[in-house]
Amino acid sequence: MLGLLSCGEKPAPKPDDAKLEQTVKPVVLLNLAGDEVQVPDFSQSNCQVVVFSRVDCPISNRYAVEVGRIVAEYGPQGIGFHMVYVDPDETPELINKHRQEYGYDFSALRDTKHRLVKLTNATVTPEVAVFCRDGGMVYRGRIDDQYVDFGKQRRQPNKRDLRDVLSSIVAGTIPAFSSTKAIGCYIEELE
Amino acid sequence: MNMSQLMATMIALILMSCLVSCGADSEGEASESVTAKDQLLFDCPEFLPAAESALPSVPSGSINFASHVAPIIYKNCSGCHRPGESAPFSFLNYKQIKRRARQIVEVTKSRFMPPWGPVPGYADFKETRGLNNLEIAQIAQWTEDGCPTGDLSQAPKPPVKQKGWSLGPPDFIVKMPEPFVVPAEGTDEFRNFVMPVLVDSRKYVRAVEIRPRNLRVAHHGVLNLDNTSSSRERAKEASGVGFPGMDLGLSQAAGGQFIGWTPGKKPAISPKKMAWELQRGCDLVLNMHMVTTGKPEKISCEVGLYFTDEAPTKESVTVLLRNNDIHVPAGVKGIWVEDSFELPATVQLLRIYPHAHYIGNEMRIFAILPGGKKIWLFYDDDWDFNWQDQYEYANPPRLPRGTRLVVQMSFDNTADNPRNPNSPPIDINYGPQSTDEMATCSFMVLPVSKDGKAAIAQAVALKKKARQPHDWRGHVFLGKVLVEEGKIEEAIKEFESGLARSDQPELHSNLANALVLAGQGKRALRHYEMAVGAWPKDSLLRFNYGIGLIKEGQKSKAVKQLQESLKLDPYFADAYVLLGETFVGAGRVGAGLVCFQKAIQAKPKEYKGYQKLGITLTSFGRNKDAILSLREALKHAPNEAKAALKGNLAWALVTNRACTQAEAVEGLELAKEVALSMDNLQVQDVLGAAYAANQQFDQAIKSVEKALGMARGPGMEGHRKGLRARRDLYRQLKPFRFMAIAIPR
Repeated sequence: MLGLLSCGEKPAPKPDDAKLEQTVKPVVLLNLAGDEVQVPDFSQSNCQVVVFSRVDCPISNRYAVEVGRIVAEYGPQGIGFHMVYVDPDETPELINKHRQEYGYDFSALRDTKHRLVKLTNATVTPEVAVFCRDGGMVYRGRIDDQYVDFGKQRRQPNKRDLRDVLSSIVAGTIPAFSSTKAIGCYIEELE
Repeated sequence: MNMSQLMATMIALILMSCLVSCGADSEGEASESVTAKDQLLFDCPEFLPAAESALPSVPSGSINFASHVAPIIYKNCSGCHRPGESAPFSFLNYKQIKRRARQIVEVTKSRFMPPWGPVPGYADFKETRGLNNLEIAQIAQWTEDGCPTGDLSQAPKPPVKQKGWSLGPPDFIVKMPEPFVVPAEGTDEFRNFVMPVLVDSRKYVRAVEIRPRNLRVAHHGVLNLDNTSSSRERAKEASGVGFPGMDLGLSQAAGGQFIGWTPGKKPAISPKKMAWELQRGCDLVLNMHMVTTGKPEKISCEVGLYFTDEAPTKESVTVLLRNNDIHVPAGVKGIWVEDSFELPATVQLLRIYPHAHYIGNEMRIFAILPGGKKIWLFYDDDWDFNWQDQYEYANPPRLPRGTRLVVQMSFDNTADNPRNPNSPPIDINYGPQSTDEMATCSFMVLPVSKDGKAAIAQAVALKKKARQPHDWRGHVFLGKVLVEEGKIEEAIKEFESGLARSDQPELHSNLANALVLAGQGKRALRHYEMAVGAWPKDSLLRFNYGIGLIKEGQKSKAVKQLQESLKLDPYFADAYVLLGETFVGAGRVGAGLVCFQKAIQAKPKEYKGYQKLGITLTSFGRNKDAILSLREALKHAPNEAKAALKGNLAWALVTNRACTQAEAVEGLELAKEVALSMDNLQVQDVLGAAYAANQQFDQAIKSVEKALGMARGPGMEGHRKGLRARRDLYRQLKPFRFMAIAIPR
């Protein structure tokens, strides 16, 4: 069980991220049916990944197939996944259509008040955050390094950051917090 | 026009198809040579002072949406950033723009948006995209100030979306046979969609609009034209719609005009008097670069063609500069290649099409004028394959004879180059695939004098051949130029040398055409057979083969080839005309008349069918119908064919046994008009008959005697006999009239 694993040495956290360590205060979002869902919720799984997204971000959408593969690979190994839609104007209907088109079949939540955006300091879509029962938020940033800048992308990623974190977790080591810069569509502040 | 003239014209017409290769990724060989920057032969012109990295300062609080930001965004961004267009997010009102303000500031500052490759200030192109420094600074300050609205009631209205075709309904729409499906994920797709052009006659294209019908996946496209069947064959062999890759084979830039599509680009309009010719039976080949989006996407593309009746009177030439000696070792950057060309004639430079792949990172294109002065033609310090484009000069520079065009390209094959297709980097050499590398630039130049074109075309051909001495295509290329210049014997040698290297149907076909022109029809036939064996479904080839067979007197075989050609292309009016003439020549006049009528049905706006029908009907005393047909021919004929047609019409009018006074007068007027521009025995014969029809027998006798004077020599007995018979009639003060006689089947 993940709870039994040791955490290892951690580097000094950045001031902004300090609050995210060890103890994250869960926030409450709505699922597409309008039910409240707590994130993270370690009663469901010991480790949870949130993928910030919106329906019209081309970079997010291009990751659909890779995100699907990651969910299929790590989901059965005890890691939970939520797709978190950050634009309050995107209705459940629109989101459902988007999920159908891109073949997403895992939990979808709406962060209409940007509670989770603020909690994680996420800035763009697609960006991911990984929470562990015994590590708080252990990672926030890009899925991989395929996008270097707007309009500059590698043919294949050199570094698959999210997979590396998840592999480490399922192999028994909860990594120290790290973050990377994600390239994508800015999550605009709420009005 | 007699038979051999007609055939010569037809062959010329067929050989005219774009002479000069235009950037097709198909040729050449990589070599070991590496050019370091200091080994470049030519120094480039001076660079402009670096664009101020510090943007102009804009006072805080001075910028609002209504007066400043809306006009900038609506003019430069909203054309694509709107529903149904290629860009994500709509920028059609304050709220939408405010919401993306931070992102807009970032991408405009980095000049990622609006997308435009060339560094500003080096050359002025039409339809330049991009913001100036002040505009970029204004948007940044506005965002910093919290996006003040200003008086929104005074804000400009967002641009109205253009619905449908931007130039109005096209004269003709060419479509993909079925949509192509781009997979959800993977590397970009490069696909060539082969679209048959089912126009009913030869057309002159004045404008082209390319419309990909799924803008999420369409990244950019280049339109080529294939007058051979090679692209069609490749599409048949490949699975799915079209064929993959960037190698465009035998197809050529349509009209030599570098017609391309990028998001937001306006339709390509031919320069004045430079409409390009489209023959029926050719294929448009649309090379599309498409991106994946995360889900499978269907895409279909349409090409709208806008025609003009105005035949081109100015002809451009394509000068292709390329250096295929590309070898960039893994992990190395700063490798340069170079190519240059000295213009043998004075030109205007209309358009350019620079091209490289992913690791190209700096491209310099400039001209060294005869006095040594250097001018920039294009500069890109951060080449992006994805945003390559074709550029049209806003003020086409005039480049005098002796100007040297220079292209220099550097490459970055390090891991630091995110566009590097390989991780870790591997050696990259010249090649046509996107993971290989290229460095080319095509220049569309307009020679200022008439003989300039031939001089440039020949110089380009020689250069191309020198570059690729082992490639058979160099021989095709040079041979075609030589044919156009009338140097048939030299052309034959070129095609033969090409065949010595490679047994290609393209070479057999061209050699055979040249041999026919040189009067060596017998030798031609063997090469036509080889070409037809390889390309049995090429209607044009069978037509040319038919001409060769007729020249050799093998009429029944010729009839068979022409009939095959017509099976493949039932709208091939020229083939009907030739078949009809062959039948008439063999005495099967009725069958010939049917062919002429079919030619008219196939292409009701082409004159040749009407002309041949009229001439033949006249000889059999059907003058009334002949006159109608010839008048129709005159309506559709190009100017250069009109004199001969007027002669035909005059002949039909004045030899009509029911010729009225008015017809006799009209006939004489026409004959006199023709005689002003042409003088041969037919013209004098027509003139004689016209005088006689108007009772001016002295003049008639003078004309017919003049004609007799021209009808000397062997093979003219038939003509002399007819002319003497008419002279006898005129001496008896009788006009010459055709009697209606039975038409043999």
